[in-house]
Amino acid sequence: MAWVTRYLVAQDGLSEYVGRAISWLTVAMIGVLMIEIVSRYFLDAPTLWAHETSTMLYGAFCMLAGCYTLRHRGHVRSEVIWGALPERGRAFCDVLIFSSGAVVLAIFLKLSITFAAESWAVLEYSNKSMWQPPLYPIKTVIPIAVGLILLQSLAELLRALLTLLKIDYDDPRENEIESDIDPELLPSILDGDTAAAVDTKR
Amino acid sequence: DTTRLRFHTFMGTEIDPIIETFQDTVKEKSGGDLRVQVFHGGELVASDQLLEATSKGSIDIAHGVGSYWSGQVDIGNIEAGLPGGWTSLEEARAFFDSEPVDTILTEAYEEAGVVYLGKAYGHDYDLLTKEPVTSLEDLKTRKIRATSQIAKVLGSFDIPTVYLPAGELYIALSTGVIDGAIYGGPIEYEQLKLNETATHYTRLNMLMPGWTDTFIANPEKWNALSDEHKAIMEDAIAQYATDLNEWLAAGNQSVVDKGDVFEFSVLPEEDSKQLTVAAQEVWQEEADRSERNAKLIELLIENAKAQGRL
Amino acid sequence: MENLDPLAITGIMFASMLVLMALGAPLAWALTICGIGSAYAIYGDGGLDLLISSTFSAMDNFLLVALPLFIFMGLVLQRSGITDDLFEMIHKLMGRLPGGLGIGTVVICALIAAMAGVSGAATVSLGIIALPAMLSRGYDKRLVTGTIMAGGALGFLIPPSVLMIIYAFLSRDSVGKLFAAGLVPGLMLAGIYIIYILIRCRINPTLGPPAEEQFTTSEKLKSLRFLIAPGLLIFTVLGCIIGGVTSPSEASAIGAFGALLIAAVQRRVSWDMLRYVMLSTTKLMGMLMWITIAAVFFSKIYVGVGAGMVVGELIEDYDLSPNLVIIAMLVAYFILGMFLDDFAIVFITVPLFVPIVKDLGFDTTWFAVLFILSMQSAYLTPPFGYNLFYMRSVAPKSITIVDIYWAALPFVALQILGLALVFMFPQIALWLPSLIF
Ligand code: NA
Ligand code: NA
Repeated sequence: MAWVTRYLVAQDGLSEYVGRAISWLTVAMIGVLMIEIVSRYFLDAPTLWAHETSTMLYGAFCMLAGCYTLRHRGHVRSEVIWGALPERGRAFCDVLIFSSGAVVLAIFLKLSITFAAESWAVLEYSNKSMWQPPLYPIKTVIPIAVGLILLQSLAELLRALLTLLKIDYDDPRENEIESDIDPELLPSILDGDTAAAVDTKR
Repeated sequence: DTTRLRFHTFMGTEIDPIIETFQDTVKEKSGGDLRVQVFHGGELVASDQLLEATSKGSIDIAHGVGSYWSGQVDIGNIEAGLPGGWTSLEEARAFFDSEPVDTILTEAYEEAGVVYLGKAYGHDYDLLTKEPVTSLEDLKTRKIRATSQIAKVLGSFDIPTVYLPAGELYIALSTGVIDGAIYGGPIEYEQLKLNETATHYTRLNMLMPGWTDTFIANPEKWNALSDEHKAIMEDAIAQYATDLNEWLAAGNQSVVDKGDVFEFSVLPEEDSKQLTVAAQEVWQEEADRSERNAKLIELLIENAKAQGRL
Repeated sequence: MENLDPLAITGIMFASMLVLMALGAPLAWALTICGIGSAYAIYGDGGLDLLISSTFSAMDNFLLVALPLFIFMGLVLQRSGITDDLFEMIHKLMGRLPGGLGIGTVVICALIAAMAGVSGAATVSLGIIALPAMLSRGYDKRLVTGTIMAGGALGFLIPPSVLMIIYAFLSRDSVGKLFAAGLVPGLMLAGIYIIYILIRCRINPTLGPPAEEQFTTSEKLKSLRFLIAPGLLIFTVLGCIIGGVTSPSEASAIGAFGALLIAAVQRRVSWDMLRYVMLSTTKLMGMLMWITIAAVFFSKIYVGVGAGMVVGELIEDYDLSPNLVIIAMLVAYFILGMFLDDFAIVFITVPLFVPIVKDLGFDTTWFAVLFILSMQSAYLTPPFGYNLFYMRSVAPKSITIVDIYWAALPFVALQILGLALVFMFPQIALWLPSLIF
């Protein structure tokens, strides 16, 4: 099943790449707001664009982060029952969830493409402040983000399906440990014993 | 069999008595066949999504303001009210009831995928500041919260403006992030408790009513109504609009009558005139957006000339 | 379908969501799947578009910009060495006092809480730094693990708080006001923990034996310098928000920037660290955003059906005492907190509960504090409690999971005591906001 592994490596790689690229937007948000604060309090010249720019950065950042979170199994789920199931039982649940999820995301994708297209059609702009920036770029982020999360969830679906059907495959993610705890602070996390005890949710 | 209409206003629970009358009237006149379910500002969709939601049918009728969706409907800002646009309720009403204006609005909203049902009229829309204002000159050293069209006019006098959502006005004023705001009339300012930090209310005589509302409907849902039901809805909405305006007027008057909430003053006539003249730039900018806008602005100019303001 | 009883529709929606969640569906998936299904059944195609408008309104909100930046700030501080310095300070200042290190741990937790927007930061770093130090000095393991877990949970109550920002977004309260309301109850709770430790160590000194090392007065005074950096950061960020100098979002940028400065001064900024902070923020915000969208969409649907009104009428019809309704809600929070994530709880319940709280004539700021207090317990109650997980992953092997559960128990009781106090005396929460706003 080498093609499965190649596909999973490629798909995980795509989400990883997106996550790493957009993670810089956090620094951009800090920068934009610091400029606003400095120009308002020290130069007495509030900017017109900082609030809306930081909001748009926020919106784009968080939307696009969804696929990265999914790739790192970071979407919070309740494991009280699910976690107690045997491996194939969990895989069965995942197949149900990610297949119905894919349908829902496909609907979402279609709606969001229309939403963005309509904004492009009238070259929509924001009317909150005098700055009046165009809104179609930020609205275009929605279908892109939904498309990316749909792609990643297809990879999750395939993983669950193969596990359920007892088809053997090499999961490139198998040896990754997802933890909320800073690895720098906790070198011991790298030995398997502790890792098993670490909650993997966020 | 009952038809239910989802009606979404941008306003909050403060107008509930008006809403209840509206709902009761519709129910009574239709013998219970027509019911209106009302949602307040932000409950189902954000105010700037009202047009979109109406055209898609997430809601059936929306009560909003053109400037919310001016990014999508070219005439939005003009019909919401440009500085210097009109100076009395009668004037505004006559303008919007006139055949050419009505046609333009109907056509613009049809293009945006909704049915234009009519207008409601706002009320006072003036400046509230922490320190007294005697002239435009006074404002040059103060930061004023204003939305885009007004901000542009103030900008031409080198008055610095900031945009903040209404919810942040109180804190921003009390801490000096801004020195004043143009957001509404005495009743709105009192409801936001702004009188605790800023008490100087300056009438600008720039625009009255300071904004107008628009009612729009989802075409499918609207056209499916019987003629009788359409008439009932149109009458009830007209009554709702009248009630709303009277409620605002009475509210503003009651704050004035209290006497100790705000100190009222009026911007010198000369300055008000200057504002109107400066506003022409904004009018022109709106006119440049589309052919339809140019036509509507032309009608607005004609009207202002007929009133002797230009 | 349109004429179905709103309560029945809401019931079906919630039941199917709970089934999906029990099957292990990520919360965002459970909410969106049920939401899309119900929206289509109730409204037809137009209902689906509510998903798009919910998405855009979650993206287009300046208030929420504070979320990633407070998370960023907390993560930077975790790596800045502040916790080590503070622990060294309390060790010098309070080590000789019976239970002194435990008390000092609570103080550090409160300080970290005033700098970080999420809970957990303090539990992890103190679990690594303070726990072994206290154990080696003969402190009782259950007392110290409990202290660290409970102290860590203060992060959401003492501002800044990510959970409060989300609550404010959903209930349309002012973030500044909620932050101000959380401060006094947070300090009160820290005080309750301190008193508890003092009493336990007074009755039985072997629980927290005094340290043997002696420090001179000048050494002690010198160690106070470790308070300067955190003090400045706390003063600036909270001053900006509670004092209303800037919006919470701008204050969060100042906080994140300030945390980077502190880390730079300590020579702890590295490319590795920055990448870790940025990627962790990305991962967490991806989760929060998609839950926000899904939950806003889900709640719009049941608001659209009129469920809130029906529940309100029901309360009126049965003539329930308003206080009883609040208590019922708090009990619901306690039970939900045993099984669900705090973000899940805020998104699902606030749109349902807060309108009722308003209708009953209660102050929503006060209710917000009660809610956050309940969520603190959620961090400590098994089977699902983040601080239990964190502690389990950082604690030495001598501390078993049974120890951790037993350690949490008395502190959950103290949290309930704090909750009861705020419930009976709303002024504890409302005094500071009424003073400022
Ligand atoms: Na905090
Ligand atoms: Na719990």
